[in-house]
Amino acid sequence: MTMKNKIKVYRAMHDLTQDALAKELGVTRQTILAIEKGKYDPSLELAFRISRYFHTTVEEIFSYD
Amino acid sequence: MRKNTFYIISGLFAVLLLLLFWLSIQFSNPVIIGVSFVIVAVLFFVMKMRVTDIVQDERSILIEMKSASATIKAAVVLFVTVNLATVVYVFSGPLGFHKLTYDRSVNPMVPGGFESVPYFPVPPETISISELGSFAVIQLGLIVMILFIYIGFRFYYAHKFGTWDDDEE
Repeated sequence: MTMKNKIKVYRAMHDLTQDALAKELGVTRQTILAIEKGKYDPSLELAFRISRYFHTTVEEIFSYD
Repeated sequence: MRKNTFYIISGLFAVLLLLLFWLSIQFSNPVIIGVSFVIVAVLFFVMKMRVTDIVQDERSILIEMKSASATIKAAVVLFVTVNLATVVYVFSGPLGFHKLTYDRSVNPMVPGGFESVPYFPVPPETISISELGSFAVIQLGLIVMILFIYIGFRFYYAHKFGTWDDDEE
């Protein structure tokens, strides 16, 4: 069972770099990179902040297979 | 305070502690290194709180927590192992209990004339005072080992949570 996410897709849709998204969310670029690669599962708070930033739901961005 | 200033001052503190450690040995006074280490540790944490340009997020805090937790577990095993071995070693010699004595009359038939008798028997073999130096070397070894264990876990968790991954952008 792993956590998957569509952050990279949403970043591309909003034409955002990892660095820019990290600054918007107040985290480091490595954190965004680690989440995208599935090496780090974000906290519930950060997951909500990411989904709110992209004006969508947590379930739309994150899935648990 | 800037991050680089913090690193430079921390380095200077480390050098200062080494110097005080040497002075402590020279003057045979453990209070010097004991007190100065506590003061430097407090100053280090106060300074760290005042650093403004270090971005700490939940992932870096998680790496720090996991490294610290794993190091504590390893340290407990290591210290208990050395402690038990040391206790067994010290128990192999006299514990100083033979200094606890009571007075007993030399001859019950004759009034007066007391001798001092230890409560505990004096063991035949004693630990040479020169061997006590090995305890100091073991303690130093433990400190260095704990540092290496922490650095090792820090690298492990940083790698696990993708600190050095390549950017695909």
